[in-house]
Amino acid sequence: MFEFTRSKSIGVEKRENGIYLVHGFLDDNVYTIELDVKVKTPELTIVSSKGYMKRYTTPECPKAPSILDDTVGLKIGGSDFDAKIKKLVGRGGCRHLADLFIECCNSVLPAVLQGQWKTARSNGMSKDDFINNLLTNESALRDRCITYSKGGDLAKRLGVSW
Amino acid sequence: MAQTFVNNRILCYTKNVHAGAINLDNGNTMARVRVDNTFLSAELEMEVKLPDLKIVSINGKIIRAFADECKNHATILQKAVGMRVGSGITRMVRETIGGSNGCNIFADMILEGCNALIMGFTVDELDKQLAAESDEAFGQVLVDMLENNPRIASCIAFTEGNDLRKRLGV
Repeated sequence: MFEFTRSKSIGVEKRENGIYLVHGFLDDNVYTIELDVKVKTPELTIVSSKGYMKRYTTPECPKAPSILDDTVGLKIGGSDFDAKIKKLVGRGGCRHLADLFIECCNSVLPAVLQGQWKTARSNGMSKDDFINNLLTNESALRDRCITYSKGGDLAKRLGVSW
Repeated sequence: MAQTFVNNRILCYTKNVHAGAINLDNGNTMARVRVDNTFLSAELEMEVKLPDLKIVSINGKIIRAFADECKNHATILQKAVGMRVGSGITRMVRETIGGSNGCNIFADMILEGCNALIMGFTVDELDKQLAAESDEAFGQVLVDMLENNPRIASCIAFTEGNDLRKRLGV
């Protein structure tokens, strides 16, 4: 009989000068890991990254977060970002730390979008108009998935094309 | 110094992921994953047949999404039936379930479920290994773990020539 549960919790706060501070927390039967990652926008560049292994399996594990220093200067995004982090932080440190780190990094763009949506909504913009603007202006979102695909139901309904 | 001023540090985005795996009475394993973030909520469950680790059934639902159209693509999950949880599954799931003609949320959730399943097996093993009640016994556990584990260079603990290996003479 086995039983395993893992919880990952991410919170992003907007700080001064385009910096986003991402807090990550992972807790499962085996590991507890904490992370703080600072990312500069709009470049999406990692400016600092600190981690802490609180529960682990070997005496080497607590040394793993030191590898995070090597992530400073990396730019989030691109098709090879996850693979790069899995190799650098995962193999060089800890794959569970890398998993949480990727989760933290992937939360920055949604946080930026949430800020833009909050402003747009307070200015009276509808959600459909906001999505229309995003698809028109943000090439990174186009064809990201079936919903945001060219010729998909959403694009048809909003009458947007690229 | 007493704190007299607090900046606005309200979180602008939050995400919670919960994944779990348990044995079923029929001998298979069920992985369940739940994601809640500022933009969406989703849930997924998949049954994996043992010992061949094949996904035999899968169901999921996007409960809340920024674009309502996201709720219409759960059928794509059926493409995962028959996939084997093992080497190559990450790429297969990303290409089959995710991508521009798929759903990256569901792809991530399947991989999270697979990880929970694999970790479930690991926990059992670790639980036995780490039950050592003395430093000497724990040292032997670590020696056995390092000598018998095929994952050389898979993480800092299994790196060749690290302090732990030197200390234990592995």
